[in-house]
Amino acid sequence: MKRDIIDVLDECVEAIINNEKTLRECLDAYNEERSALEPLLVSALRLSEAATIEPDYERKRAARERLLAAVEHKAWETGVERQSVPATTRRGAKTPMPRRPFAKLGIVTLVFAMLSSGAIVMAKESLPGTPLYPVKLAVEKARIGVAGSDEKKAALYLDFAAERVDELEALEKDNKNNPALVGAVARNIEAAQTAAGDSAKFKSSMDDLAKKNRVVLEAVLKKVPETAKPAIERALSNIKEVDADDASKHDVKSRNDEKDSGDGEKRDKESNKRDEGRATPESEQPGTKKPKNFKGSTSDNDDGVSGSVQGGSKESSQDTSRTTTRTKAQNRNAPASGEFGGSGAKSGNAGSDGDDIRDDERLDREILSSDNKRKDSCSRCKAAPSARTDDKD
Amino acid sequence: MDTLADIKELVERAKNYDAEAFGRIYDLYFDKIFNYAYYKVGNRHEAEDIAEQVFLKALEKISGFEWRGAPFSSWLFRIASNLVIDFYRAGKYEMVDIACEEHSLYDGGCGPEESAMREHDRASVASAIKTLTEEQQQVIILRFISGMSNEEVAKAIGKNVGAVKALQHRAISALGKTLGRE
Repeated sequence: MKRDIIDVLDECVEAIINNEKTLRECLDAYNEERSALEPLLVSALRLSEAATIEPDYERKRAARERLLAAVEHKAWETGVERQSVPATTRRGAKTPMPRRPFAKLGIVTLVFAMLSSGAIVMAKESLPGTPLYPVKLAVEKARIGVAGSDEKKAALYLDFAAERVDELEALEKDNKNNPALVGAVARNIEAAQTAAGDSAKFKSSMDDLAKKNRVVLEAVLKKVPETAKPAIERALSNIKEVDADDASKHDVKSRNDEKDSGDGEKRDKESNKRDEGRATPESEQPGTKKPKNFKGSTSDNDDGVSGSVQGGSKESSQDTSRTTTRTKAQNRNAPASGEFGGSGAKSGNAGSDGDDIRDDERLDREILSSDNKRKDSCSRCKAAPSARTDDKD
Repeated sequence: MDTLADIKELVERAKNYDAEAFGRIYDLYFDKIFNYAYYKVGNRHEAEDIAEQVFLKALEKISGFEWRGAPFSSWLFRIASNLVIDFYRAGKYEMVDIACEEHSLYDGGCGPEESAMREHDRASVASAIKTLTEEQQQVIILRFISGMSNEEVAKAIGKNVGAVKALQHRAISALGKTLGRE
């Protein structure tokens, strides 16, 4: 019985491609189909013989080098300090890569030899996607390479995590998004923790980082690998505890002050002092440094509500409302007795009533009122602090 | 030599931007991709550029690569296919001339007459392949130049094995007619 020519051709093609049979052997094997098969196999053989063409060796080698350089670049761009993370945490890394003893030294030498200090300074301000950004990462890598102790490495990794946070903020400002940076923040924290172990200094530095970048870290927490979560969670929970303690201490202090003075006039003076403090630039006030684009994200306000008002004083009304929401959230975390501590006698009384909703409404009114007034005239506030308190009511 | 497990491990390492793994992948597939590109565009230099671009594109996209039954090479060939389409869209094909290609090979001092004749034959085949339909070209190049099995070609182009065999038959018939007219 005659076989389907399509199948016969395919069998012969397979045999010819794999050098299992010659053209003649195929034709002999399928003698019945010879007339139809022969022209087809001649073409197939010609195809097979013409098939392999060698690329130019030099061009192929040069292309390979360019590819490997691009791979290194990509590794730096998206996976900052991957090598520092233990091999078990690297995706798909079944066996550790062989160490190249002089690679680290080579990188450091190259980076410093090839780049002038000017370029390095310029690179420091660069953002992902810009030509100098890989230089910035290379310099960071070099700094890790020359850092002697694990403690120094941990400190550097935390600095780099803070740098990635700044970059995230800067990109957000330009309405750009770079999810890889979130991973880079997490990886640097993870690497810092690996290098530091249980060091108390690391915990303290991590708390500082979390304090300054709470909002970003809370966002990062949702996306980081499990290994990086404990350090961030612990730091965030630490700063919440510190906030609650601060608020509580402040409440006690203001109550003591009230007892000491015994009249509302003194409270007004204190309030006035705080208002004067608001005129001080943000950066000059200790403990109130904020990320460029996450206004109000820090929670280390010394004076509770007034600190929040300060954050919104130079912002639009929309920003003010955001600040208000955050303050409410922070206050809910604090114990009832500490709520609104230091915001004046009225707030203190409201807090002691334990009526959260009324407290919040009152807080909103206070913030909006004080904000509007500051816009009108700060000098008026200074001249008549008691009148300002009356306006609120 | 390289089993599927080896390739999978290489790809996983490459996804982590491991330069050594990328180098290995390049060594394994560059020639096949170059051949594919050569038979699609008919010009050595363009084919080398396209092959290089394929690996650079693969580097960009590797983090999103997922195993879906088809071999890794078919993913690379798909990238190559898209780059070839871009090549023609960009109008670069006007610069491509198989005759010039042959001429450059003669001038390049390939040496023996036999070698020159082989290059001539290769150029003729490349020209003939370009007269086929897109699907026929894919089957012929993947089968004869990249050395894929029918099953691999079927997965790469999203057809069944029977369809691949039929396309192969029609393509070889058409090529025979084209080459026979020379």
